[in-house]
Amino acid sequence: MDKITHNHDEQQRRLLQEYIFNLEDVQEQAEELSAAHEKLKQSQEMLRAVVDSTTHGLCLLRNNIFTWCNEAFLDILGWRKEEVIGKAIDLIHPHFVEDAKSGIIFGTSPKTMREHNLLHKDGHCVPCLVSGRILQLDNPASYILSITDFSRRKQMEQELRRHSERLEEIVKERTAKLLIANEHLHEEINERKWTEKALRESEEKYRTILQSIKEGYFELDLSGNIIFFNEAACRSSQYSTEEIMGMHYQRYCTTESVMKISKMLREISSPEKPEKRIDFEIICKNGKIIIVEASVTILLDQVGEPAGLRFVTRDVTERKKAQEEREKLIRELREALASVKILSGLLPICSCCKKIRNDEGYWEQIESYIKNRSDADFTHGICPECRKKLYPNI
Amino acid sequence: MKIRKILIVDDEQIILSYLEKKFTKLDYSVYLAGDGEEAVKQAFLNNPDIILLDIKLPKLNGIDVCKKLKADERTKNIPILILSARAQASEIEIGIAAGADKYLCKPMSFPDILSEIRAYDNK
Repeated sequence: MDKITHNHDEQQRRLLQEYIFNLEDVQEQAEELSAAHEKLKQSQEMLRAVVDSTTHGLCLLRNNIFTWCNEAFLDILGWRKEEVIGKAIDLIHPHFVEDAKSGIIFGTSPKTMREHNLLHKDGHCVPCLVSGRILQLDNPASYILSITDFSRRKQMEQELRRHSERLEEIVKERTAKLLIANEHLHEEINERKWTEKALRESEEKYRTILQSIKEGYFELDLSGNIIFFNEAACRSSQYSTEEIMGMHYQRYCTTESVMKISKMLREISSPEKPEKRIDFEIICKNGKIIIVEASVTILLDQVGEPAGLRFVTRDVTERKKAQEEREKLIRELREALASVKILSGLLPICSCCKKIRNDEGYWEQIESYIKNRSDADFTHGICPECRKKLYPNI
Repeated sequence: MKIRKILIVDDEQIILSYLEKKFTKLDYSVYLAGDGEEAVKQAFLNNPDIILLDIKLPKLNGIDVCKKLKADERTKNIPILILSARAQASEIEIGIAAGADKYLCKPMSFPDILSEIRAYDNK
């Protein structure tokens, strides 16, 4: 009996185990189904949101009759939902069925978009890009259409085309102008090159002349610093080229010369232009002072404004020295001459007292007159006649 | 070490199919045997981490399978959980005496079975 009970118990347990596993299985499937259902619901909601928010018109047709459409579809073509649902596709496209059959609507793939004019509610045509896909959901076949209002884009394309043409014209004009300008530029460049070459040759010639002349040449900027000089300037001042460049005139001029040059620099921009010729003194490197005679001109910059002074100098130290000596000699001579007393010409003399009227108009005793104008002096005596007169008894 | 390989031994195809499906979903490697001889063969071949063993089996019953596996060096350390519809105390004693690590009585829900298996993780 026990064994039968045990066997029965074992049987029951086995059956229960199967039952439990089945139940668990079903439960799991139910949960999966519920989860799938939830997912589907979310997908549907998302799809609805997409469909409602898209600017592309979408519609579903069955047997060429509208069964559903979105808001965008109605907006594009101006219909209300109740005016579309249940109506044939001819409402928006009179030859749709024939065109669909001939592949004009659907093309070779769902991604093919074709331009069609669809009928708006108020009768005008709306250019749209249309693509469609046949849905083999059930019998009869249904299809989904997507339409995009092309009119704005068409307008923009036309505008773009106009702008593009205009741009091309402008580009052509500009290109032509540029070509001309380019030619002129080439000519100018050639001219410039020729001018530069001439300038270079001239500069070379000028430089050669400057370096070969024995006169010194240098240029000062407005601050008084040497900005250019020739070899002769180095030679006469005994400074090296490195020392001279940039040297300020105060360093190599005596005080008086500094004043002269300062005045010239000041007068550059004034109405009274600086003197054209000056003499000034240069202190050479060895301390020796030389006198130079300078021909001065105003240095101009590229725009014609005064930029400094230009000096062409000649060492006139020896000449000056000779001149000074000559002048000294003349002075001495003059002094000597001045001291030589000569009486000449007509002397106004008083016929009575024998006074002589001097150059100042005064009557002067004859002795003093002659004494003052010659080396002669007097010693007083008496002549025989006067003696007889004055001393008749002697 | 986590249990990864399970050998399920039962003569009921429904049990085998269900448990295989459930354990596979949880990334276990599942080996099946419908009789005692097959069970021993699978144990030596695949070296499972744990064995779920029914007692009422054709060719070789579960108790003998248990003894055989516990006597062999290769398989003596594999935990064996007997899952049987025989729930009497004597049967339980026999099972434990044969070397089974645990004696589970049918019916059991899958979560409970899983919990018993997971108890051997890291053992």
